[in-house]
Amino acid sequence: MPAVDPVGESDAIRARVPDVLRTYRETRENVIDGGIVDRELKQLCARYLNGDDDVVEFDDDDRFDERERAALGWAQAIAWDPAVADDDLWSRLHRHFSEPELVELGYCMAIIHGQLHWLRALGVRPRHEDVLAF
Amino acid sequence: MRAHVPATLRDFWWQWERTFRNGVCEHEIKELCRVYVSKTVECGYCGNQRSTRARAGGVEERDYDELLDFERSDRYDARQRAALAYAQAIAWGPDEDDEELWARLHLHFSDEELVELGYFVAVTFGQQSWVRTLDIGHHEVLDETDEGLAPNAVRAVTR
Repeated sequence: MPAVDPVGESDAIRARVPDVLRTYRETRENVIDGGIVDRELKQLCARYLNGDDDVVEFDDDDRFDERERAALGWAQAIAWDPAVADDDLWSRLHRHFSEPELVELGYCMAIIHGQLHWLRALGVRPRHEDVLAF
Repeated sequence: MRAHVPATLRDFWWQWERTFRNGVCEHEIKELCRVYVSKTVECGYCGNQRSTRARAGGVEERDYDELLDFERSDRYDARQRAALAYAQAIAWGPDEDDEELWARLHLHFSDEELVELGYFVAVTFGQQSWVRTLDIGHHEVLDETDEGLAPNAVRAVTR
């Protein structure tokens, strides 16, 4: 473990405004790393949002189970086309997630989606494996 | 909706409180960027909300009308147009040479303002991209008030 917590590139940018860094660190702790939905699923959705080639063709990929495919379908709707969130997708989402889980997962994806777009505009592109910590 | 998970509601409240209602960059320019994002991602729910603080700070209803044509409209000054170009770049990628955009932005904003404004645009862009998948309307979630709604939205829900 390092003697001093290293500050990543994106946190160094946020740190220009202490309230921005503080707010995002609270989000990371309470919504991204913490919360009621498992972090692994959030990581998978974040990799999709980051354009990971290993995840973007999730529909026909048997490495992913039904719960993961439903969550990734929602990530696709958030990132690209809200029409993807049709009755079938909502039926699948409600089969695998409670209402609070859906709220937290959707909110978490929304935060990550926005951050990825902003940091790309600044020329910062996180590695897929680091996408939740960037 | 966010209140299904108190930690989520609390998190969003702090995002809004620290980077939209307050902060180093003035609220009015962030309100224009918020509604620009809602128009460009077609989130009708968010696009029909209005900041009463921005109204008190001088933003008029007509200022929202030409947001999608901000580069050609004479309703916006050079600083507002630069902020809106930044919001556009975050939502869709830069529409012009990167260096030209950053030159415009640095002409009008400090680094701190650019960090906060960009972070706020990221938050509202992400939230609106999510909210539009939920297909919710005004008065389905918060039924008791028209406060903060655009005039056309008030007419629609009272019809």
